Amino acid sequence: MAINWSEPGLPLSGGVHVALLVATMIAFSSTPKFEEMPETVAVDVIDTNQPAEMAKGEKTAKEAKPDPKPRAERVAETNDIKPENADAKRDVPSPVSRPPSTEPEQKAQVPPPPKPPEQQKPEPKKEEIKDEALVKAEKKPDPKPEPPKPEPPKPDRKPEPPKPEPPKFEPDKLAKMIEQAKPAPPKSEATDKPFNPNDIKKLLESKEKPAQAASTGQQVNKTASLGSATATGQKLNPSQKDQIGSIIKDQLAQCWSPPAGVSDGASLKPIVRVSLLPDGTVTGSPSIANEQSSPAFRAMADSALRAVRKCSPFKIPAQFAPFYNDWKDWTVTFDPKEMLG
Amino acid sequence: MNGTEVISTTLQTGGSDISIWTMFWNAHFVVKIVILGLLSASIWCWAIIIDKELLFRRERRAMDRFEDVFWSGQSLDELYRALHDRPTNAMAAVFVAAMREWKRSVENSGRAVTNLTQRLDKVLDVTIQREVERLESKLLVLATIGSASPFIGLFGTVWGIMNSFRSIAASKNTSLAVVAPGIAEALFATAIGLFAAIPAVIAYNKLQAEAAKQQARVEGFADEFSAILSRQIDEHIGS
Repeated sequence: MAINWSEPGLPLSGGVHVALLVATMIAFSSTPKFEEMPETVAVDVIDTNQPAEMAKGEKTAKEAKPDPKPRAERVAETNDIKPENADAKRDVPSPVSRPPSTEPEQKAQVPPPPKPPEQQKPEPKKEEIKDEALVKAEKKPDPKPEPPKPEPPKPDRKPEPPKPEPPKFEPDKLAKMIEQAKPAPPKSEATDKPFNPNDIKKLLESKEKPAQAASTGQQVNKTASLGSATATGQKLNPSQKDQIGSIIKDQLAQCWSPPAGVSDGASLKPIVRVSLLPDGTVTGSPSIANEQSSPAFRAMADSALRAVRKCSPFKIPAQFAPFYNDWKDWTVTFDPKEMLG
Repeated sequence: MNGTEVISTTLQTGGSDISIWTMFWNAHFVVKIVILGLLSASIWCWAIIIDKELLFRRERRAMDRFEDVFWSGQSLDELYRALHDRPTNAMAAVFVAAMREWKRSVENSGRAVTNLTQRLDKVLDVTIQREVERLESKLLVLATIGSASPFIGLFGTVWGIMNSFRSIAASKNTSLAVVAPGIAEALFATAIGLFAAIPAVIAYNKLQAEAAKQQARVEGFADEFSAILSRQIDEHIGS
């Protein structure tokens, strides 16, 4: 085709377009890749003493682990980054074992009666307890398949707290042994109940959580180590301190009958120092911190000391058990206005 | 196109090779047609732009030269003889047409002079019309390309995105790697549409203004020439 030079538009334009296309293809032949952005990592800022608090050990453990971990009874379903949450550990069976009678509110949450599927494995469990008790009372029987362990904290349902063949107890392992012993009671009831095979499915499906939620962690760590030497126990936070103070004061107010006829009552506020055992029992003799010689104050102080002895043992809710170190020495101000209203 | 085909195309385009050519080649055929159409529209529009620009430049220069010659006092008959077989520009064409009519009327023993002015005006009008039409021809194509190709490109984009959403639905995978090639090829259609439309619109406005300017110039010359001729006619009648 001859090019008409007076109208060179079409060939010129076509040529330029082809050239542009070729240039574009060359220029875009290698598409630049995006720089791979590093994944953002969420960071929790924690207090410096939190790791130390978490690594607090147990006095009864055999050895100090090189890297102490917080105690965990079973693997947490979710990866909880804040295991120091005191509420989550409410029912940690720590060395502080509570007399069963002091937990009336726990009885209300007791799960339904024992389940046959769980009752079918009492024998191996028991034997293992016997075997392991000497070595490590803490170790759980393996045949148990399910995380919800049959550890209902319902001592009142226990018909006979001592098991038929109690393993050898050692006093300092009592706390852990109690935990082990708890699965036993269903056994006696199981024999009474007629076994109904049709119920198996229903029972398997009921997945109610046990009232006692074992402490959870990222991995099961059943033996608490001695912890690190530099670790401290968990600290009560201010609101928990207020709580425990008012719990003790409420109980004391019921036990206290201030001497009648003491005039100038407002200025007489005996401050009593109390030493408590883990179960709330008063140990040693409570002392008056602000000793005064006036007879009126003496009478007041004596009544206060009487009240303390009368109230022993104090009912300290189990959620404060991990903080025993913080409330084992407690100071109570006996202010008649405040306590008797 | 069934589901597996969609998946295979998607996976194919999901590869690392995302050059312009693979993008075009993997596009849906509707998108391909749109892209090819827009490409040819762009070629055509640039061809028109180049031709018109050259034409207007030639016309302008030729008119300048003609006006110089016309007003230099040269004999109109000589000028007519030089130009009458091949007028080079719009002004010359108007001049030649008017002179031809004049000569026909006057040289036939001066019988048809009565309505000569009207006839001359008619001839001038028609010639101007024809010349302006020649100048403005194909400018409408530019206008059409300028206004329509964005929509055509948009159509290709919508179609391509529709397709890539169908790919998502078929592969049940919303990761950007699956979606991106389809969307890129769809946006490619819009890019080509704009690539064709923007020069077309700009050139249309510029060339339109140029054509209007030249038309005004030719009309002005025609009026002047008509005045000269009517004076000649009056003198002719008087003599």
